[in-house]
Amino acid sequence: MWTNIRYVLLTAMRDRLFFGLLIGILAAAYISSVLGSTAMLETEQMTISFTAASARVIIMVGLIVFIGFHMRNAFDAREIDVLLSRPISRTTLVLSYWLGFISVATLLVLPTVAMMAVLGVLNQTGFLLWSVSLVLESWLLVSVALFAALTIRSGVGTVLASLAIYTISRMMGFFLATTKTGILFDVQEVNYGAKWLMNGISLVVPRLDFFAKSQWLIYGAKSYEDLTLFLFQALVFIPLLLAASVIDFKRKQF
Amino acid sequence: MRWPWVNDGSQAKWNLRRDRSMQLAVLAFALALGAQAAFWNHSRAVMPEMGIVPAVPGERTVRALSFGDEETFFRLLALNIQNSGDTFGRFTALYKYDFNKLYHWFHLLDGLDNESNYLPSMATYYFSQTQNRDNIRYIVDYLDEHTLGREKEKWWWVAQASYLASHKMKDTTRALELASRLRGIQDIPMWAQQLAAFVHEERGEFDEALTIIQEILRDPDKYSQGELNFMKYFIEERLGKLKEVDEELQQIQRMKDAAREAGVPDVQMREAPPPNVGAPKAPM
Repeated sequence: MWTNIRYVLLTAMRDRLFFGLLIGILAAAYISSVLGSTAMLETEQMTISFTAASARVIIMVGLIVFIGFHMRNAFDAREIDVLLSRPISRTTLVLSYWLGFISVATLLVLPTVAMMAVLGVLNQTGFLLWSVSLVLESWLLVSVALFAALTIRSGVGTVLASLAIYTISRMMGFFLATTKTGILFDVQEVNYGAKWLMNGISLVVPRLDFFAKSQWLIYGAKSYEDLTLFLFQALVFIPLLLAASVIDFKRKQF
Repeated sequence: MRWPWVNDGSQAKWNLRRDRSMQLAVLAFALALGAQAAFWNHSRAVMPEMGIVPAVPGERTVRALSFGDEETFFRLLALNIQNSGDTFGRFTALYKYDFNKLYHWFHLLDGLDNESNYLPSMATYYFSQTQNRDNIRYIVDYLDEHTLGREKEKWWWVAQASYLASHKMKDTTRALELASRLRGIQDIPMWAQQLAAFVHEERGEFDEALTIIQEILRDPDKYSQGELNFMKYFIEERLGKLKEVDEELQQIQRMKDAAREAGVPDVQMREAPPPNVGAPKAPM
């Protein structure tokens, strides 16, 4: 297990993942500070908000691409076959990959959090909340990408599917609010249908709009619910995806 | 045919050059490059359409495009509004802006973040400098609605709206309506609470102005000796109503004197604007 985790970390270093993404995040922070400095007022808030959002997107997209192609390569190069020929269960293998990828994710998030601290902490509680939720968001996304990589045969397909789920998850709150109004379509029955359909979809799609909100960095959290919502979402959905990944992987024929 | 002075690599290159399909490809490349140069010559003068204030999108569109992070999208769009009309090396006079659109932009963005002082400051300090004074009403309407029910936190913008209505729109009725919203609001500077009295004075309504000052005078624990001196001056010199409240003022002064002799420190007044509204700092 530990060997596999170390191997994932080594691969990330070999692929220049840390270097590339951290350079990207630094560039994004620089551009954000230039953009923020042009604001009439609240320049610090502008810089913090732009940096936080761009760093989050860079980390998440980087993780999806890395996991998608790492796993594809592992299948194509028969690394998985070799690993399974050893006394290691399929469940342990999936868990070891997950642990390896979340280690990579955490190693990407931590310098980002440090950089945000250097840019300025306007609200300590909000900063803490944002940092924890960014770690959990990256872990949840690792689970999504790993599940996609184990179930979809193509690397590009894995990346596109994970990106689609990520986008839908970030917009799920909006979709639910929109269909809930019941005024989206002229025909009332269609509105009911849309509402039920969206509720059904939201049952199996995580609410990532609960995570890493830039407003926490500026105004702080509004209530404890901000914390509990993303905490429970991560606590529920990560095991769900891991279980699904294990089930699918156990049924796979090599 | 092999030339003795030509090595194998050069021979291969020579053969490639003589190849019919290669010659056709090179010809096609040269023609396409020429066509691209001709197109570039024509199209380089065609610029994207540059409006001043962009069209206002729907609230749903904005929320959808924010991808769950409305704060960042709010700030991106707000920055876009700040720079509208002044992009690509252009500088547009403010009278050319569509203030109705700006008003709707402000409303839309308030839906994403109404705590920020960014939009009110942009409206008050920048867009209110428009050469077309009729447009000021859009700014005043926005500030009025932005601050509604939040006078304690947003008193600075209520005062700014009242100022704009009074001095730029020359509409003292509107200025009075706005200033009256600050009457009796605790923990805001005394001058903001007195603002309605100043507008009444401007309108020549001295009795109403005196009523407001008397309301404030009722609570001597809330104001300093300096503030009392100002109110005395205001009543005597600007309202000419000293006789009506002389007894009351003397009684308050005696209370203040007694407190000072007893060693009670004078009230520390908060007079400066809030730190986060982009206003110049008060002199120390």
